[in-house]
Amino acid sequence: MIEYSPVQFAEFGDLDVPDVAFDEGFFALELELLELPCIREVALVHTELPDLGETLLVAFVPLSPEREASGRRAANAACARRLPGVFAHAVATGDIPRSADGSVRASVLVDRLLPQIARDLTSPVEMSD
Amino acid sequence: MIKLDDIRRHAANRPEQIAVVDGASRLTWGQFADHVDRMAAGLSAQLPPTRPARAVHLADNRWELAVAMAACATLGVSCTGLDVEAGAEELTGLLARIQPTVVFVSTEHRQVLDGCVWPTGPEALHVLLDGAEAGATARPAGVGSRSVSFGALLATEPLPNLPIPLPYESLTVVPGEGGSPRVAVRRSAVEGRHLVDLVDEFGFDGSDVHLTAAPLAQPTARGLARTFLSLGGTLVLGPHRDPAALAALIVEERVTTAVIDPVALVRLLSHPGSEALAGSAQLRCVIALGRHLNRWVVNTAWEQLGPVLHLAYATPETGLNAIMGPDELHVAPIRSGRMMLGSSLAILDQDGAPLPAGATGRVAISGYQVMDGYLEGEAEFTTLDLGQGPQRFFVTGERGQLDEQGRLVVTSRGTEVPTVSRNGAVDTEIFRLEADLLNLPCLRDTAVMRVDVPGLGDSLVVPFIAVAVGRELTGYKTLTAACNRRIPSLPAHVIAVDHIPYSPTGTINTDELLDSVLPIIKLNLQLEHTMQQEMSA
Repeated sequence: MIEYSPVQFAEFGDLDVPDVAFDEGFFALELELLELPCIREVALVHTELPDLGETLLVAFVPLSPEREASGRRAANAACARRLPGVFAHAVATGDIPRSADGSVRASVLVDRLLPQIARDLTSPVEMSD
Repeated sequence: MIKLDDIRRHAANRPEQIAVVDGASRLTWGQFADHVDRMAAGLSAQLPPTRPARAVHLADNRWELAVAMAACATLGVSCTGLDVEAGAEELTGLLARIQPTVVFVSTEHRQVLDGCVWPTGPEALHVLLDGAEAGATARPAGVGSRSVSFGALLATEPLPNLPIPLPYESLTVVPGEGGSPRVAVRRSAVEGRHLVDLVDEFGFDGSDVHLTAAPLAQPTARGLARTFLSLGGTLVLGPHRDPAALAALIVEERVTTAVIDPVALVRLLSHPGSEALAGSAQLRCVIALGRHLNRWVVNTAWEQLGPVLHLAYATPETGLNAIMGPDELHVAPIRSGRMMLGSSLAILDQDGAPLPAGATGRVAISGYQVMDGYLEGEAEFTTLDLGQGPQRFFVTGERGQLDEQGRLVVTSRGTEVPTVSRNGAVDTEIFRLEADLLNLPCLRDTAVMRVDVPGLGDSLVVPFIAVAVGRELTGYKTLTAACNRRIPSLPAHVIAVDHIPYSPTGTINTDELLDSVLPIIKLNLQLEHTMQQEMSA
């Protein structure tokens, strides 16, 4: 398996400033999420959300409704390990919109997930997370 | 795609054997040859004088498309696949760049094509693959003034001698981040060499029944379809959005090899119908683009399909370059592959010098499948001598390494992390709307969903459970007012329901909810529309 060098984190506040450490961490996180056998599908998106600012959004399709919590825990743990300096939020979904080559239609995905994210942020589950 | 001479050769040897299967439609080699012959003659007569003559297709997989592509290959006309899910803006940009002289389109996608206006559009010939062509008078002004149906072209008498094929040109769309795709150009034929390499690598032959459950617009799907037809095998066009039908088709048609797009593969493996395929199907090789597939797919494919899944590394610029077979998939990292025949790999440092195995750098690919360049704009090439003389390498936008096992492992992109830009104002209001709705006393529960589906467009769907039986109207009025106040730019479809499905952790099951409410909303809209028409009449 590939080993990634430890990432040194800089300032993540300004999205316009290229940040090699962030880029490395992001792609390493993407690979780590793809290696998780406990989720059916996963997509990692970097965006900016109201109230939250810079956000890593992990959309995942759980193996079953009962496995949603474990999938979320695994995704959140991977985010905390790879990019602890950026707010990350994992959302379960039934489907991830993709192109024919498998690439994620990121804007459509965020559009779909936004109401659930807003709801999650006021729910007891998120508070306990 | 396969040319008429090759089709005739197979038709002479096995006229009654099936060449193309598309649902209930089955073309024998004899029929396929006849259709392609007539189509080539019809197209040849209708082709505008503009050169180079180029065709594009905007259609889901269907037998008519296979015939049209074969006719284009016979005439030497490039036939480029466009993404049927692309928006009008993206398609317009591509059409303006490619400047097609012929556009093959199906009824389902005709509306979006009619919304595309490009400088050479009025001169282009539109060929409607299904249904009857209503005629030029029915076309919007300035959009494809010449149009003809597939059936009309098929009624053309074959020519005694087909015209000399035009100089070879092949165009491939390179999807771009942020909706700005490019077009890769190849000006020398690679099909023959590709066929030989695939046969050497996989042992494909004329007895194979090949399933294409990926759009023919995708280069890998198109290349493999051409390969199997060239070998005299049977091409089965699969319903790549219906997993139950796909699983049944694999068994019924005795499919031996398949190319399945990543979305269709995940759906197939998630469907109960695929659970017995390892025991009941004849599958021996399934190829899927592996860049976005995860460990669950690898594990589940092994259990449900058997040891057949091959994950491919392919780019529109460099072709099908690396593949990871089923035996190694379980121990290899995701996004890795072994280089295929005819492709060479170099890992470059930031100065463009080759790096040793184990070091991470930019991935560069050389080989006969590599494009000549982009239709517009510069491509990054470099010449390297890795011991076999100077070779021209295309420097991809990805980073990776050659690991200790000799595998290419793609680790990241060579560019910065893409940030999805958002309309902050709308997003903020959606957040506020959720907070507003939580405080409404006239609702027991509600769910806000943003959808973009045919018939509704980009809109909000807001099912709710009223606080008591008989209070639905109050809830409807309150919710509609709240949505219109917060997000007036998005139409809101508010509807009362009895139940909102949740997962055990409180996530709304949007698929189930939308399945139950969307038909009612669409019906209501139709009724409303009919009433308005009657009133205005």
